[in-house]
Amino acid sequence: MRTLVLMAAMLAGCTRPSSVPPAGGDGQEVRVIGVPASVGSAPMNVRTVVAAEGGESVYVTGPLAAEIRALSGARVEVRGRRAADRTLVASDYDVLSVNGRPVFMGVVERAPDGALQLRTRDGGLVRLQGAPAAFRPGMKVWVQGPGSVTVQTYGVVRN
Amino acid sequence: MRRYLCSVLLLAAAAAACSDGPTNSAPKVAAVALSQKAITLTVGQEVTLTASVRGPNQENVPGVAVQWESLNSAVATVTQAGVVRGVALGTAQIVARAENRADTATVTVTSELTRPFNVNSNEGCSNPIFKNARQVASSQRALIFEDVTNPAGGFTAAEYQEIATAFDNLIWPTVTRNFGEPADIDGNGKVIILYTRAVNELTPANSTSVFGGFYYGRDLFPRVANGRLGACPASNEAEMFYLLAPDPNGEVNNNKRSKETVRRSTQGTVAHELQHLINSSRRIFVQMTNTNEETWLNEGLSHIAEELVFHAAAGTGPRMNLGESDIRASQQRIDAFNSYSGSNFGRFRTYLENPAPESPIQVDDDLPTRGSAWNFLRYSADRKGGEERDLWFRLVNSTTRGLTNYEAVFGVDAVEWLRDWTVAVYADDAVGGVEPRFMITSWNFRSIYPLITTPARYPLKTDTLLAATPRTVTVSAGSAAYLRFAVPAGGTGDVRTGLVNTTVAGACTPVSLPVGGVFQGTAASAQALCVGEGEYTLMPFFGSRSGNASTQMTVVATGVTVPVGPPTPSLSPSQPLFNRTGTGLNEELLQSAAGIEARLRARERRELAALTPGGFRANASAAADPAAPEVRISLMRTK
Repeated sequence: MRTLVLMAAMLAGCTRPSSVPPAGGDGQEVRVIGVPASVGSAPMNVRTVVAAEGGESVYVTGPLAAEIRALSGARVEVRGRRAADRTLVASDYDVLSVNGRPVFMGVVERAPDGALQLRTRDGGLVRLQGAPAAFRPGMKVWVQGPGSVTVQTYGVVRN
Repeated sequence: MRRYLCSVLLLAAAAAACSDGPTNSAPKVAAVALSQKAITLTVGQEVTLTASVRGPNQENVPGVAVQWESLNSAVATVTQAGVVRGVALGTAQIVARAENRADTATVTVTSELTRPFNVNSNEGCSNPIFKNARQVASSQRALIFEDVTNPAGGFTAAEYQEIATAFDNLIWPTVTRNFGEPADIDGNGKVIILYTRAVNELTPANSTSVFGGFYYGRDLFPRVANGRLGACPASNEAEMFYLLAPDPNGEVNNNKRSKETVRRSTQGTVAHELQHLINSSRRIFVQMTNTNEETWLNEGLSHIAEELVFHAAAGTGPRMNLGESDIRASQQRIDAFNSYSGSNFGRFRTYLENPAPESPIQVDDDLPTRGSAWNFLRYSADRKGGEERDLWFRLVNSTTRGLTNYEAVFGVDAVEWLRDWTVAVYADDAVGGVEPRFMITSWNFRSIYPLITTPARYPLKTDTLLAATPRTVTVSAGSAAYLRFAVPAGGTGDVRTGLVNTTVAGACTPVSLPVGGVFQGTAASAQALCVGEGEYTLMPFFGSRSGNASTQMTVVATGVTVPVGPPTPSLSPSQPLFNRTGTGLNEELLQSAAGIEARLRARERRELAALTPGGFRANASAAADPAAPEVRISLMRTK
């Protein structure tokens, strides 16, 4: 086992680091485009990372980290403040695509006629057809589908 | 773990300084830093210190000799390799010198080794909650500590020593042979196993599940930044994990834990946590990656570790298609199954009971995800063939993670193998004539599950397609639904899979299959299929790589009838193989599964509500759309 530590020391002395997105100093406002994932062993060590396009992974913290983790495998843009240790304190994010296609994302509401609709971040409303039974008002979700909008594929970001 | 990235950055910074090219003069030694500043030993115990020699910019200075000296060799000695040995009770200073710089560690030699551990399970590097623990057993690879505040009625010294010996003889060699050895940051060559009431306290009163133990990555980091790694002030600076303590009187939250229960239920936990320790430490200290493994794969590998220890304990191996008679062959195998495999079967059962909304690659770490991740990895290793140990080692010793890591090691399209695995979950040991890629050759699940499940059955949830009755299913990424139907003699069944609440128009594609034959197509190519006489299972699979995505589709069939029964004769047990409570599958697992079952039933009720007539209808332009392009259809003839 001692060998491992020695190897680590050797590697530490001889490996050039890759570029680190997002560039900038601590506290600087930055944005990262990439794919989120949940890493670490459960339950104590689970964290959210975003594998940034053209760079390395960035840990995401803050109240939005759980939502971003729920977007595992999607393509997202995360904005926030760079912390000291390659950590991004997320203040906002967008889902750019899931499975290569754009999505509608917003909060589920119930329309006056009882149907479910999606309130997007810009205040727009998307009427949902074929909404899954799991959808409840107040949920934050993304949806894909034809028409405006038949819910074919979806993900729950926040219950 | 937050400090983990900091550490990597620091490492990277040091590396950058080194790799900018050779310099004409060797850096001057500015400091020497020991790996530990305070050590407690018993007489005869050894620990290895390491000394980092640094230049003026904190860079490592290689090739500088370090001289070691004990200032009180009557109490502790040190070799020129930094190995410190306790000789007699007292205190000694150990000095490491390089050129004109030095660092000192204080060694305390005691008769009974007691040391504090931070047991805070909520916060990693801050707000430590210290508990004193005494060393109660030692072996070549394990140091066992007992929290001095543990409830009464814990293990005896002899029992602790038995646990340490079992760790040396069974768990350590099995797990490290497959995954590699962990780091050794505390220089003792051992893993610390701490039995602490802090683990018991994680399970509230009247809970339907129980915490068996945990590993905490913080403990791999130094309390003070050492130039290579960032600081984690609350770290225990040890390769260690935390286990449930016996509590026969229910002192903690009224939860009674007998010694027998704790011993049995934590044996698999030890193998499980050891894989996590190896996985993290090799990524940090060997592979120099900047993130941990993805949670689903990390947990799946730990459940594989449990299974590997089962084989070592049972004298069996993978790809033996173990069934009832194989396990019943000896008490040794039954005991090994109950200690190391019962939990895997229990977790996988929760997936089988409702597979469509669950998946091996989901972001959560609930029991269905863990159980299916284990089973998918098991399927993958069985299908890949060759030396299985090489697969596990490469998965752990990787610089990538998740599906990317999986695909690099197995050399396959992960989505394609996930799809085939969902077929194997149904077909293996149930349908004759299937291709090997639809088999899981290590286990005969259809033989074993009826023996450990009440009512006795293989618990895979299937639904029946009824003629002209649209069926809407929701399927998670990496999983499938199972829809069964029959076509009577002389008839033709027409099965159409399309967008939710729509009916696919146009002619159907004729498909002729022998029993065991499987047709596979995409959402576009398989949206309308015609089949002749026989019984079939339609498996719509969602091939998205986005772990929390789900898709909806509606299946409409005509010319079909209800299948008459299971795909093969019922495998009801002649007599129970394992007790269903007590010494069988451990009762905590069953309790835990019961809680999960309740949750799944609630979810199922919500899904069934989707079938209620009167919902929104798709507009006409959407009627001909196929399901999402990631949907892949498998259709198997089962009779």
